[in-house]
Amino acid sequence: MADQRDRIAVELTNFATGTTQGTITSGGFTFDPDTIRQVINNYIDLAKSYAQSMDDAEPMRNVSPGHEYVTESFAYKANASGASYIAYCQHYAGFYLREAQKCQDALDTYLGVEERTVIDLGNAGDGGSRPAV
Amino acid sequence: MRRFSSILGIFAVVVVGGCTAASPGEPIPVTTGKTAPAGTESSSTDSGQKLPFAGAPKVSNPLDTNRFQQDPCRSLTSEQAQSLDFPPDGESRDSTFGKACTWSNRGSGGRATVHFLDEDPRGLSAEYQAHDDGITALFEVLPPIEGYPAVVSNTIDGRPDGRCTVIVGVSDEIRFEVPLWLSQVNVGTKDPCDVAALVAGLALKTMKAG
Repeated sequence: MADQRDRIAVELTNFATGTTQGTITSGGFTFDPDTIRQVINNYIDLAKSYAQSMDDAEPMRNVSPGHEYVTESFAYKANASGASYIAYCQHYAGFYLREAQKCQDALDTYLGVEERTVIDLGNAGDGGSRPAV
Repeated sequence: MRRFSSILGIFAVVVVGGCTAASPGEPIPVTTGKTAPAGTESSSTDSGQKLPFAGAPKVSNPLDTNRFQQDPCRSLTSEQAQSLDFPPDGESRDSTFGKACTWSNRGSGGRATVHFLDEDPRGLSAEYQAHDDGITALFEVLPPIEGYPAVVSNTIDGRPDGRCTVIVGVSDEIRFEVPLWLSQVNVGTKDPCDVAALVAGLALKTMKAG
């Protein structure tokens, strides 16, 4: 059991520091499984929130210029800003989903169960049907 | 105090009267973009621009979507939502451009939204204009969906991540968009634009049924 605790500490330290191997030489954090599940859910909520922000920002493509140069210039800057924001949201939607996955992997390692994905893969690969969307 | 109020009242009448004085000129009709037109006559935007423009097709059979604009969650029936592996009820919200409703499957990561962009009464013309202005990274004209013109129009190309937005014109002024995220298992195996068009088609069937 102590060995498993060490493993999860290593997993969590690795995802926090971005390293893939090595030993713990300084302090860190310890989590119980329920806390990690909560962290996973929080990461998924964050990813969903960024996805929704992205959907909400998409219509900014339609910010239209008026006939004067100044408003035209403003509209193009707004469009460029919108594109940057959408790219930002897309980056973080993926980032938090990956962080959730790292937590899930760490939890599965700790619990000694086969690693699974944060997002349910449904029946894919089992000869079953895929989700319609 | 009463005397002060009286003076203030007289001042207000004078000021308001001054503001409402008649001035010469032709009245300019304004479209609100809140409801679909009853006929097929050409309409115009707030700035007087005649619709459609920028190469957008004319919507020859405008659809009255007023009740769906007020409550986009009516756009998919419970059965339709469940056929897409969503919960029967969507979550509604207001946005700057109009009301929206999102159906999402937390387990699979799939989500779809019906979002009316009725605060911008330029219909599909706005999407064609954005394409002409070089704003969209992804723009494709789709075959009509349920008889209504549709395009793919996205600021960035999200297809590799399983994301695509399809926009349908239900009148020359009114359009709705369907931003869609595929389930993680379907990313790379399905075209998100095809699935978004499928969802838009289901929503149109509901709207046509009234």
